[in-house]
Amino acid sequence: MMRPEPPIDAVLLPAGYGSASARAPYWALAQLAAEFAPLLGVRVLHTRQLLDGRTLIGKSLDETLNYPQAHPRAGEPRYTWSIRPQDDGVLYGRRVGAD
Amino acid sequence: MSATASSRFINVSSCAFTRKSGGSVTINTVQAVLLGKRGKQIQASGDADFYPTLSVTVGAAPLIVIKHQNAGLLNTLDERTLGSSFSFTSNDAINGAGTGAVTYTLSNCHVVSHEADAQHQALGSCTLTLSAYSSDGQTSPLAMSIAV
Repeated sequence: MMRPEPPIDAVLLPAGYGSASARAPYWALAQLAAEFAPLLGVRVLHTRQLLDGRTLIGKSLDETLNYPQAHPRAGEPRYTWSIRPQDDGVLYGRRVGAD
Repeated sequence: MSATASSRFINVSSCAFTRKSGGSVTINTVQAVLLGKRGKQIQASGDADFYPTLSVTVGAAPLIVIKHQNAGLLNTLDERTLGSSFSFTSNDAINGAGTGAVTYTLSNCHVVSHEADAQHQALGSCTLTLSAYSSDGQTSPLAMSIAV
């Protein structure tokens, strides 16, 4: 029997992800909300841009790509990333630790 | 039920600065909010150069400038104020704070300056300038959010 996949905690989007018709701030977010909010199980979609143009979508406002400077694991990745089945550059992240 | 989002914005609501200590401060009478990544520029020149021979953007430090008319906030949010977050909602032109509104949140923020100005035959206003740092150096301290 296969073990169920752990829930997805974050999504990482490649730069420029989404249709060109949805570049206005709200529509870009609405498009992402329709696609990823059910997956993350959130009622509010929070996005943050990364240094290299990618976009991080997390479950809360405090999400960061790596552990923050003040954390004992500062600089280490906060998630393990896997390519989603569509293989379109979108990565699904699962938290490495509880915090 | 809200109409379709207009994709245009008008007015700002729910503008608030949460201090690291001392609680949240509502910023009312907001006239405008300017929001930008503020790229950091490095230029180099030497000898008899008139123009720089090197000019690159090497980083970014988000900047938010709030224009408001509540002079009572000048001391409440002075240059020593550290914040855990600052947030405001950019309202949809048709639906207000409903469908189409986008909420911006700046984490790890601090007050850079807070200035007042007075003009001839016009209301005086205040300019609050905020900046922020990134927790990990990779993730922008500025988040955009919408209700699903």
